[in-house]
Order: sequence, then C-alpha cells, then structure tokens
Amino acid sequence: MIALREITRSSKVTPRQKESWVWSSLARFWEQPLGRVGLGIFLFLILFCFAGPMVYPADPFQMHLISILQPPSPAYPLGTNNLGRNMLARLMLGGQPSLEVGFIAATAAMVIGVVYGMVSGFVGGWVDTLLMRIIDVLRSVPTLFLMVFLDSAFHPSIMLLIVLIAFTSWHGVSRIVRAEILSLKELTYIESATTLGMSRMRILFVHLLPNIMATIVVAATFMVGDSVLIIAGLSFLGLGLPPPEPNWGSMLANAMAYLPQNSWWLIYPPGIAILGTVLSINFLGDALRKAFDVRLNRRG
Amino acid sequence: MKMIRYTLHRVLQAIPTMIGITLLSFILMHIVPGGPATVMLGDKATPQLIAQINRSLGLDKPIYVQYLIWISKLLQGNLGYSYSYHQSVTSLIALNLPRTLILVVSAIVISHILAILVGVFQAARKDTRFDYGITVVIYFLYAMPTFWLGVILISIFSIGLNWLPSGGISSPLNPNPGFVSYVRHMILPASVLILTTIPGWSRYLRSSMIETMLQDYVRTAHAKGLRQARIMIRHILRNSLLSLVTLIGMSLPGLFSGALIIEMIFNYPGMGLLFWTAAQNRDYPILLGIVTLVGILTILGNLLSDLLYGWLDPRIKYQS
Repeated sequence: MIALREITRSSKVTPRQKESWVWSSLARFWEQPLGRVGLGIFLFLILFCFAGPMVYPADPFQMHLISILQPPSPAYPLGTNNLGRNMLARLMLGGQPSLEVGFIAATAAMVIGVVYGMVSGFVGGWVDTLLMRIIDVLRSVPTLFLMVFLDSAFHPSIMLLIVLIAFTSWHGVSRIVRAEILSLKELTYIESATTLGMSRMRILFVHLLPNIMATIVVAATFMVGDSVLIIAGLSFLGLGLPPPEPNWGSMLANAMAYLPQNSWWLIYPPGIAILGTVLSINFLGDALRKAFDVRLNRRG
Repeated sequence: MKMIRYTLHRVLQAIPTMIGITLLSFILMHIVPGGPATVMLGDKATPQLIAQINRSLGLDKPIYVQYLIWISKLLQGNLGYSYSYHQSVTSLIALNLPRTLILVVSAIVISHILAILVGVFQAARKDTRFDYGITVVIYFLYAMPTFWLGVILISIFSIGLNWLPSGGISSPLNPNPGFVSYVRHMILPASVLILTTIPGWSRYLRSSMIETMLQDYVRTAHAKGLRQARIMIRHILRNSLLSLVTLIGMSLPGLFSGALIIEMIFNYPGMGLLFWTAAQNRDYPILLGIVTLVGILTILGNLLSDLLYGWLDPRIKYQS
C-alpha cells in the first residue's frame, strides 16, 4: 500500500502534475455514488440548519400551551413538544451547535493529533516510545467515563465540550500520522533533503506534511462525524451543550420522558438528523479515502 | 521458551501503561474544582466543615501522598471505601461488574458471530447487489447513535408492543429476579450493544477477506480445484479471523463506554450507572476503582489477544 503510494507521490514533482493529481482524485471522488449522495445530504443539512430558520421563521422558543404534544399538522409540520414549542423550528436551530462544535472540536483534535504524530514518527527513539506509551494510556481508558466525570465536575459549556472532545479523540489520528511518517522518512527524497542541509522543521512541514495531507483530510472527515455523535450522546445524558438552546441530543432526552404518550414525532426527527449527519459524513470520508488511496483504486 | 520470554516482556511493558492510567485518572479527579465535601454538605457548606470532611477522608494531604496511599492499598487489592454508599468499593464493583460483563461479553460473542456471517457472505458476493445492500445497512448501523437506537427499541418493544421490559431489573420490589426475568430484561440492552458493535467488525472482516482473496495461495487453492466454500472458510476466513482476534482487547473501552449509555437508558444497574452516580457525588474511590479496573481489563485483553494471535498463527515469531 505504502510502496505504490510512494511511487505515485514521489513522482509528482512539478506543480502542474500535483494539480492534476488533485483533480484526478476529485474526479475519482465524484465517480462514487455514495460520495455524491453523502455530499448532497450533508449540504442539505447545512442549509436546513443555517438557512432553514430564514425560510421558515417560526419561533423555536414560543410556547403554545393550548397545543402541547401535538402530532404533525399543517400548523406544526413536525408537531409540538410538552411545552407546545414548534419542533420543526427547534430541529433547525438544534442542528447548529452540533455541527459547529463538531467542526471546531474535530479541527482541534486533528491539529493536536497531526503534530503529535509527526513529532513522534519523525524524532523517533525514546521520545517516540514515550509519546506512544502516553497514547496507550489514553486508549485504555473508556472515553465516555472520562467525559462524564469532567463534564459533571465543571459547568457544561461549549468551550468545555470542545476541549473534552479534542482531549479524548486526538490520539487515533496520531497513530495513523506517525505510521505514515515512519514509512515516508526512509525515502530518498527525505534523505536528499537532509543532505542538502534543510532544517528538520522545513523537512517536516514542507516535505512530509503535504505527503500525508490526503490521510489527514480523510481522518478529519471521519472525526467530524464522530464528534457529532459524541456531542449528541453527551447532550442526551444532560452533559454536553448547555440549555436553554435546543440541540438534537437534548431534544431526544426530552422525548424519552414522553415515550408512554407514543409521541413518535419527538423521537424520530432529531435521531434521523443525527444519523443523517453522521451517515453523510461517513459516506464522504469513505469516498475520499477511496479517491486518494492509490492501491485501492488499482485493485478494487 | 520464546513464548514465555515474550509473555514476560509484554507483561513488563504493561506496567508503565497501568501506572499511567492510575496517574492520569488520579490527577484528573483531583484537579477539578469542588470535591466530595461540597457535594455532601450542599447548602450547609462552610470552609470549616469542608476542611473537617476533607481531613476525615484524607483529602487534606498533598496529592502525591494521597496517590501513594491509594496505590499501596490497590496493590493489596483494597480499592478503598465509598463515601456515598458506605461500602467497600470492591464489594460494589463485585456486585455491578458481572452485570456489565454479561452485557459486554454477550455483545462480543454474538456480534462476532453475526459480523463473521455478514463479512463472509459479503466478501463471497463482493460487488453484487447483496453486497451493496448490506454495506448500506452497515453504514446506517455505524452512524446510528446508541441512545437513539435504545429509545426506538423501547418505544417499539416495550411501549408499543409491550413484549419486553424497558428497565428496572433490580427494583426494590423485585430484588432477586429469576433467570427468565433476567434474560427478558437483558434482551433490549444487549441488542443495542450488539447492533452498534457489528458494523466495525463486519467491515473489517469484509475488507480483510477481500484482501486475502488476492493472495497467491488462494489462487493455488482455486487451481487445485477446491470448492469455493471450502476456500472461503478454510483458507480465507481462517486468516482474516486471526486479525479480528487482535481487535477484541482494544475494543473493550469502547464497549464499556457504550454500556454506560445503555445502562443509563435502560436503568440497568452496572458499572456505567455506578460510575454515573459516583461522578455526581464525587465518590473518588469508586471512580478511580472503575477506571483502573477497565484499564486492567483492556490491557489484559490486549495481552491475551496478542498471545492468542501468536498461538493461532505459527508464522508469527516473537521478538523481544
């Protein structure tokens, strides 16, 4: 896998060839039906959450106490909750924090993970051993347990959530990046860069980083999906995003209290929204992985 | 002999990781603001009372002293005494761990069987409509939030059809549920964990088998005229199963995390629910005990699957 990728990548020398590699990867991405479906669903969800409230300007906080727990009707397309609030408006608004925090947390985790993995793989020796041991420790602790403890010790806030997700999910990326760096740094072009007297920083960021970009993009895509799931899960437990703003996880938690009333319109829309987001992101990630991964294209 | 040396080496390697886990959890728990005293006292908290409680719990000592005391007790098998339950942590864990383990182990076993079936059929019918159909289902399960699946199952099977209970396995009214009742209470929580664990494993198995199919020895087997099913099972699956074995150990923390959410939804009194309550009460001995225990189980699981891997596959050479 690495061998073929190395050959194709190290042969891309001139900028024009590099450009054509990006374009052909994008073309390979576009050839995949699941990738296109994923992109479509994802763009739709973004529009739904961020542009939706402008198209459908109902107040998500307005209580209609004469029409509580109403099933979907023309007046309330997705029904109302126990306080008579418009569920469609809440579904739109509830998606915003999930998506925003998901992006920011995933980006933060990626930055930590990539830098950590690059340093570990590039420096090697006892530094590498130590850094990897630290990851072993983090991998052996159940993430949710740590989050439950820290989240209940501090007051839930968006900042805390971002820090928690970044702190608990960077290490997967680090291991991938480290493995890539380990195989890349043995190549001739790195050796020649060292011989030419280039600084380690320059080799790391100018010569190695571009070569693991594809891996980073794919890993980052999946991480956004994972973060959305974590946020929803913690909010469902009453820990993630602070009230009173609605979010998909806390909407589901609220729906659980009204399960005996068979209020299906409270259960399905937020769940479908979370599922749709994560599903479309995973479709995107897989299509990107296939588009970038040289070996899979040749064999598959 | 080599095997023994390798085992010893791996056990020695696990020790720093273990110390790391205890250190990390100990420090995290003690640097956060507030503490058990503020939770216990609530509105009545005064600096004097807080100091008094901290002194009686041994929380007034420097953190490294507290850590050394805790770890030396841990080495004697003593996990301390719970502030909120007024019981030893060992007895609390002994009560709750089996319930979670039943959940986790049944999920590992059943989802492995299902994932192997799905993976084998998908690999055998690679790139057919069947393969694509299952792939989409697997994608859905992969993206499915655990808690939402739980809520849906409760709404369908407990409330809609009234077939299975939605929780309350050990209510005060029913302290000793019989076997049948226990199994009935287990079905929904276990199903959630199983359904959300299958996708990762079946996807792994499918791609690993498809990769194995390209190996020369598989071509040789075909050339010898062996039946397709025999090649699939004896030659390809055997090889791919090997690498699946190595995943079990590392999947334990994830399974325990999944169990926490499931225990919350189904009000199933296991380690997750115990941890949750302890987190609200800042019951440090319980919190530390649980994290340490899951860490030990994970490390042991990893060690076992590595050793099992070498035992199953004679090609693996041990090098220290």
